[in-house]
Amino acid sequence: MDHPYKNAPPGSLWKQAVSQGFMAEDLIDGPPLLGEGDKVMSAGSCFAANIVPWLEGAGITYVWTERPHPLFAMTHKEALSYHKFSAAYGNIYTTRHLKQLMERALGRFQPAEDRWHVGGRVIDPYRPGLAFAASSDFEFDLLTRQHLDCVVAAVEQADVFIFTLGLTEAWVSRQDGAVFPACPGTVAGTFEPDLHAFANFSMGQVTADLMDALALMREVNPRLRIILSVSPVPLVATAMRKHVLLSNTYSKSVLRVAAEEVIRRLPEARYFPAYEIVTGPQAPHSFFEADRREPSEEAIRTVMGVFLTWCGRKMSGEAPQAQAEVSDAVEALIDYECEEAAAAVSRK
Amino acid sequence: MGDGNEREGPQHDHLFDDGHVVLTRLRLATRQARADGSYWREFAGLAAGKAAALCWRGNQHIIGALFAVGGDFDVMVPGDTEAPAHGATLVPYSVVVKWFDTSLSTLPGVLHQLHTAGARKLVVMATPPPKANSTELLRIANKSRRYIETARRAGVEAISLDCLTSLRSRYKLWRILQMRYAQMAVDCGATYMRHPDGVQDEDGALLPVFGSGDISHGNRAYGEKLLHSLVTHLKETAV
Repeated sequence: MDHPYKNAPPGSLWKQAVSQGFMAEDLIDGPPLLGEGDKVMSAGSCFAANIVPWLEGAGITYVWTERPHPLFAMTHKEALSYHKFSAAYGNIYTTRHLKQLMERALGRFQPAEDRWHVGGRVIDPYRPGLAFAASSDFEFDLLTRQHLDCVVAAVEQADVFIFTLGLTEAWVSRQDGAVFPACPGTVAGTFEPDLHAFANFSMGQVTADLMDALALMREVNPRLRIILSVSPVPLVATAMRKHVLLSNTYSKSVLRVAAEEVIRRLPEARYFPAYEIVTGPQAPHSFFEADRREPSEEAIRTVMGVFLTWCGRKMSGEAPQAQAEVSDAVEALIDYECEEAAAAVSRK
Repeated sequence: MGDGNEREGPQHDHLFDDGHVVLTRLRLATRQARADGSYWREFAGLAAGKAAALCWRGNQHIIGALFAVGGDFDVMVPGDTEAPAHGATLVPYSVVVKWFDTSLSTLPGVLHQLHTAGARKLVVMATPPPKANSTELLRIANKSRRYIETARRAGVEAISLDCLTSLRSRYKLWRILQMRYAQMAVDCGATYMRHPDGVQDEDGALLPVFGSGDISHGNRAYGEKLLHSLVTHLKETAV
């Protein structure tokens, strides 16, 4: 008797594809994710920061438009993930934040609550963890403009944008809906119930925000291709007044469906199954650390192995070489100058 | 400030005496004397009951940032209202402060040491402004194997005017350095003495007539102006 499952393609049947002899590479579906010479920009949650050294280690060109000036690189080591992505936007957990970043970068949205004055420093509410904040409003405006220009430059230069969707829960401004990457008062600033509200974005909202964000990016760079993934890292906390496990399932489900919706609508968008590789029932227990939240090195290697294979690349397994530091030579030179001056005086 | 010959021991120079102010200079410190603290112990031993004035390093802004590695940069010094230089990377002021503080971290300890030793007054003196980018500066750098080697490690194969950090940027660094000296002086109960008048051109660079034959130091003429500034400062801030 004939039926649609009889001649289903490999991978369609759970028993053969998952229960017996699962291979993560079997998830590879379609042409290579990256072309030869493609330049990559990325953003997303903390999981997204993990992939960059692997990309570069495999010889893939990663777009960097906002790095510490080399003269001050040893000093200007930023906190969190601000220097781990193409520009210093840090972790972008929600699609609303991505859309907002592009709107601000293109001058289409200026949040009402655009700075916090704390202890003589001017804090960016949308990058609250910056270790080196501005010291005046004047400097803040200039540094913010420089940062947003770097965001646009990254989009312009990239061939492919990889975005890892992280969260549906967020805190927003009651004034204009601006979304904060962290609840005010947790990293910086002060939580004020009159100004700040909780939001748990729906599938419709996440999809719409992602479509809008990508449209803005492709307005800047019409040839930009998109790779979407969902972060396997569970929520650190929920504000939903329910068990975090339940909130996590909701969030990840919404994000996964939204990603699927977007790739259905955009021919230039593709999906990479990092989430499934790490969290599917086939994944070994060892794919998470003891806290059952942090993906293990083994998990990240497996994910990147599949990704790079799908790009036709080999995994080097090593982070890129750090540039040689000149600071030691400069320190020696400072001493040398003074020694020479001292010797000159003593010769007189 | 010190000399290079430890076998002679610390040397003192009698610089000035007008009956009100007597200035004695402890010779320049060697690296060893600075590293093992013996120079500052000697200085503290002389300081009881006197005003103690010191210069602390002072050429970091020049040598640490001499070569324009990574392109032009700018920094907003507090109070500045001028936009950054076109095409320059704006470095947060707080980064530059921390950059300098790594070389200033032991200054408070020395000032405390002098205070504990019974110094009547403490003065942190300004360090010379940067020299302009010039063919003379180029000639000095290109004569030095160490500068050539440092430039190579910074990715500069041949030292030319194009590869030197702009005077504008280095002057801003120098201004921030002086602000840090002034703040540390206040924090440690000392006074800060600014640089002498009449030693800079319209761009803030040290006038060539006050420059020594190296990249960063002032010469005898500069030292004389510094000396007179110090005498005036001590008289004006007499307790």
